[in-house]
Amino acid sequence: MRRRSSFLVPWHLAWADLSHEWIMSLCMILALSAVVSPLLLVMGLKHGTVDTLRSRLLDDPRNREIRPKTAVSYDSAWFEKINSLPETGFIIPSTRMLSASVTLKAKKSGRTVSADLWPTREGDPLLVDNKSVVPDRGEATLSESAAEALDVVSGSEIEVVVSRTGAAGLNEVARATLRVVSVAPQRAAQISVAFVPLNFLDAVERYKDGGAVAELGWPGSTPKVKPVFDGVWIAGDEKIDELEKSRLINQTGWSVLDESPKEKPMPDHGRQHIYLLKCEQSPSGEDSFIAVADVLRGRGFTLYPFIRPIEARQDGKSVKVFPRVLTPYSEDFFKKQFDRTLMLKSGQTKEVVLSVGSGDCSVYIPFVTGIDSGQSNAVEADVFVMGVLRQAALRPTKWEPVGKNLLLVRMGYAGFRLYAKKLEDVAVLQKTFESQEIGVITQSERIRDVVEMDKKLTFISMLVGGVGGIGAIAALAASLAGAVERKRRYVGVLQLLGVSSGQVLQFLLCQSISLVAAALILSSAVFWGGACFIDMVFAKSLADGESFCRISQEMWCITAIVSIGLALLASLFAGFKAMRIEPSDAIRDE
Amino acid sequence: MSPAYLISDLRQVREKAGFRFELQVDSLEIAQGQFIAVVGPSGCGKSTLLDILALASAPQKAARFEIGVGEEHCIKLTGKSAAGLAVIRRDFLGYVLQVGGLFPFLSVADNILLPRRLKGLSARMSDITGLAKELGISEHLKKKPAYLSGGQRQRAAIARAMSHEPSIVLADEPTGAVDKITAQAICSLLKKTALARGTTVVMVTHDESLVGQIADRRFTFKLESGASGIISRLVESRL
Repeated sequence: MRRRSSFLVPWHLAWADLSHEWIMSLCMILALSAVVSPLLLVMGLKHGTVDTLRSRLLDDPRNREIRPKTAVSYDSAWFEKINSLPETGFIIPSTRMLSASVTLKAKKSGRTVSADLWPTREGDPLLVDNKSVVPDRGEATLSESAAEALDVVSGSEIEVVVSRTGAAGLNEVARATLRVVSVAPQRAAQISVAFVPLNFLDAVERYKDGGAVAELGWPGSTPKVKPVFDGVWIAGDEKIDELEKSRLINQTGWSVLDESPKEKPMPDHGRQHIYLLKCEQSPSGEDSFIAVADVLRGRGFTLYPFIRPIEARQDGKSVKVFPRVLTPYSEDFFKKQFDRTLMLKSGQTKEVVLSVGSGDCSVYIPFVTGIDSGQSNAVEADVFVMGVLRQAALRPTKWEPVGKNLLLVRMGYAGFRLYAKKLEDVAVLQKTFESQEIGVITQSERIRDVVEMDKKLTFISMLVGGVGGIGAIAALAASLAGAVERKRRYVGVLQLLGVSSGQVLQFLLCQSISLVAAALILSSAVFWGGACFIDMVFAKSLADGESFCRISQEMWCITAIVSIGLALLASLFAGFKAMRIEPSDAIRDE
Repeated sequence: MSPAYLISDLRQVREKAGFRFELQVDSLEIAQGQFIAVVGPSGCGKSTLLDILALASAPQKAARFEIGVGEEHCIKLTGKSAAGLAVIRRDFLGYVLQVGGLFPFLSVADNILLPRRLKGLSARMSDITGLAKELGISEHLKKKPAYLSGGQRQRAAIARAMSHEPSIVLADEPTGAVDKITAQAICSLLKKTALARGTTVVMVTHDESLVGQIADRRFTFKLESGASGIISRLVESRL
């Protein structure tokens, strides 16, 4: 006779019993859910509220924002250094507050609003995290209040009206048209703000400072690079007297008068005396030449600018620039045009690009080359050009191709807007700045509050959860043990029928697990309903996707594992107790 | 004829609240296929003996305690583990309880099929229709036991005790809860179905008249009051 497996028999019996006594089973499920559901809700509330507040803090870039308290000048080397810190998520320079305030005018409605221009660029968390578009050249992202005041939407055109007090004391106005690419929500900026690329703000500041902005067609002065020199050759037929000597080095920008100079090239002068008036450290410009001319006025001296060879680079190779001819200084000397003709000493005639200076001061200047005169790594240039190059090597400049001029650019920025990578980084960065004696404004107190609240809520939920948990364990154990006790007679009969101890245990375990599983499903449903209700009540203070009552999958799994584990324990305990009785004890009702 | 039970020098002592009761079975040999009646008033040790015979409680002392299964095959029961005894109960014994032995959560058919399932036999309806017909409960198979009368329930209990073709069926006052006429009918059915299958039956009852007609052998107890309590000895009484 072929034997069949009797493995599933206890499970079949268990479910048959549970469904037969369905009212009893339902009561047990309800009793278990009554303990587990509030526990889930408490855990969910704690998890949900802290999580929501935390992610709000995290999501809102303003909480990771660091701004300087006072305006100082930060150069680009400083920005690079701060940007390379591991805690820095994003940093952008900003101009002086005054330079950033403009009037915006809607092209269509003609409405106007005073607004601040905030510089931005790709990756700006204030825009990116607020799901706004980072504006490109000729574009702007408006804050909600600005957009409302102007009655514009993304795609509209606005006019930026920049005003300054001109040289004659009159109000001068410049305008630029920008296309609105998006409107940033209230969270990004509460005031009226137009986010624009940094170079637009640079242009606005330059215009406000009286400068011209060629690319926008705004008139004004051009900050041409003025040449500076290492000294002045003084050639004459008379000697410079002692009084003149002391006057030459007193507040003229020059510090040493060399009466028998060795420096080359000396001006080809044919005069009896030649002096070299030099500076020790920084070279001097037009004012120093005027001062010397004033001291030696009417004495028949000829002045020549003196300049040492300048180190430059051409296609990565180092090149030395020498003065071509020494032009005497005259009143018109500094009004000369920038002459781009170079004498290349290698015989080639081509346009070369020279760069001078290092790091921030590095500038590329296209030159027209002239005639060969021998040395391969040397070029000759007009002495005026050399003076310009000398200055370019010292401070930031920019080649302006339209006017073919070398222009001065700003040295640094008055402020910055920085975002830490993580909330925890804010405090670290704050310390870094404070060690540099830069006072900063941060949200560190708010961050501390949430961390503190997290701790307190964790404690409270642990307390409630602990008490609830103990209650749940007790309820679970009592219900299951009671159920097993009621099943004692069945257990006895089963044993009499030859059911093994293992199968009796299976029968009891199966019942416990089924009840707990059903209770868990019911509790989850109750939790879900409760969570939805809580979120509905707080709907106004919640954003999309946020929830005050939420439970993670891990937490749910832990709850399930713990309850089922407890169910197993309770039924094992009851089961062993049931199995200790001899089958005969259960046969008769006593 | 092969024996169903082989017992000698069996002692079982029960003590309850200072009262000592000792069951003594000096020698008992029961042949297979017989209908044995154990008769006596309550408290004489009937149930104690039946529990031992049903392997539901182990005797404290027995020189010999074996059950016979089939031809020339005896199983020693002394020193068997609880699990070993459970297997013997499952495969070779059937038990008819006084009352309420059926599981209320299973249908009558499932109750009857349960021993077959546990033994690993095929458990289709067709396996028990013959038995159910013999016992007159065919039309009640799909019902839960709660919808059956006392007599029907006991007949179903007999069916459950017999469904897995055991060698021995033990019945503990199987008619204790029904009227006399029904009781007699049930006893006859038990006898009839057992006879048809060659099953040994040990039935315990306080009512001698029930078994007078159908028992092959009859046992009763001889009680002795001693200083240490009551000693009850199993003796065979002539029919």
